[in-house]
Amino acid sequence: MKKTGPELNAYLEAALALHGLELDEPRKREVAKQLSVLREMARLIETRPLDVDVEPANVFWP
Amino acid sequence: MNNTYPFSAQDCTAAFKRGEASAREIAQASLERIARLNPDLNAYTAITRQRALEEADALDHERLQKNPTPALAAVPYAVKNLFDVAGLTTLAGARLHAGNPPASADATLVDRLRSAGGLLTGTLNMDAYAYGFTTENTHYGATRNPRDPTCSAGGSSGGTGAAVAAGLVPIGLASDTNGSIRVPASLCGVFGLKPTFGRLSRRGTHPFVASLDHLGPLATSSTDLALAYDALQGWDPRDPACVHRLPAPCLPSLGVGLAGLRIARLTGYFDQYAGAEARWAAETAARALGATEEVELEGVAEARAAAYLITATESGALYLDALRQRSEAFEPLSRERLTAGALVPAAWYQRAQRLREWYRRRAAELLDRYDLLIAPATPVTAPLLGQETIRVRGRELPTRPNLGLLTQPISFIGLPVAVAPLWPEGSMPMGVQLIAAPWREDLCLRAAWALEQTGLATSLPPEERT
Repeated sequence: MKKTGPELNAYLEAALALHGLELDEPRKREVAKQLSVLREMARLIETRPLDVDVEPANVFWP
Repeated sequence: MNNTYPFSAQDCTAAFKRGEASAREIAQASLERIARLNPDLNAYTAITRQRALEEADALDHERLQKNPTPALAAVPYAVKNLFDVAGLTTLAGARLHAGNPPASADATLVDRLRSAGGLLTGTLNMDAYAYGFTTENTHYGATRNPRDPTCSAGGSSGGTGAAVAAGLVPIGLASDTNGSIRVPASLCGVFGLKPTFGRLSRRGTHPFVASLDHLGPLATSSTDLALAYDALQGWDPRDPACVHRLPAPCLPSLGVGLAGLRIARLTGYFDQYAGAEARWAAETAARALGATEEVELEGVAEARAAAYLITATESGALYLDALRQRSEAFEPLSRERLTAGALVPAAWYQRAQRLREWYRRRAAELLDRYDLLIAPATPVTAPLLGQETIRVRGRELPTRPNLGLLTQPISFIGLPVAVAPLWPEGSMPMGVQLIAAPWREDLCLRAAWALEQTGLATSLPPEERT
């Protein structure tokens, strides 16, 4: 299992505080693991260049 | 009416129409079979016996009055327990919701099946929050695969897949965000349809991912699938995500054939993550349907990653208040995934939604050249319950997030997909995805029907075929 790293752990602590979530250490480790997976997903997406005219897909129709 | 499995929706309606069986007799046959088999399968979380019999009696009365027979007259059905059913609490697979008041009205799609003469037999088990591909629910138990009870029925609509595969009901309703209709259809060996995003009303269903949630039917035949789908169609002004399009019945054109259609098998990513049975199924279906080409779609791996990220973010945000206030009520398999999703940086999410638009354009270009694309529905056949990893082309992958590897990139851009079940030699079933351009569910269903006519696609396992 990849280590989550100090920057992710620091982000996690700050984000949990910002969102008003209190977790014990075992839960924090699991959330960190899940965030690490999501970070890898984000990194893969970032490898694909996107032109500036590519707007976010619609989530809402007026 | 012959009370032995299997009985199709068409069988039910025909028997009722000809007067060979009353709707009550058909309802009772279904309910008896549910009572007998469900304890071992754990497909149902609630059985609506009284309602099914009342609906049946009302139909029988209508027939006595010589009123027209509706399209799904006397067809027993069941729905995933994220659909509102009047008088029942909508669980969405989660104990978190068990204390909520009961729904005051049926979901739109339940109402449509009722209006079409369907008989609601109950609500079906699912992965909690719809966040899973195996229906191993900590709170309500795992649903077993009727083809092999040591195996998963898939998810998150495992209860629906199992109920239809076991012949408890010929039609079931389910949802599909990243594969939750198609994965159970594949693993349980039944037909499924995930329509175009926005085609069917989501009103009265518990949400999971607003950007990606679809609803649709599973059935034991392509004809029954089309019958159900046609009854479900129609714009719903009460659902802001439902696109205003006229219904486009598919049943009349089911047997038109595939002459002149440009059909290709998707390779690249869809081969990379396909085990031996999955590869066999896609190649066999492609040959049977006259697919002349193999083609790659650009950016599939990134698309799957973006779907994964959007799912995590939107579902995490949806449950954030509950995570703060009632974390102990959450299912352990999902709680930390939801928490992580709630913390995703906005820039990741925005990038994923932009990637989605880019990828939609690539798929549209491909679908200008081809009318139908074929891919396996799952990387492997049904894993064992509790199996932690699956082996795909020599790699060990965690089971739960990866059964949807081949479905996620397609639902991500809302394309219509039918799943037809094939049976690799000596193996559990394996579904193939039949994918078309937006709003062309008719092509998906025509292809499913054509495959069924060859004998390759069937919901009957080899030992039950005559």
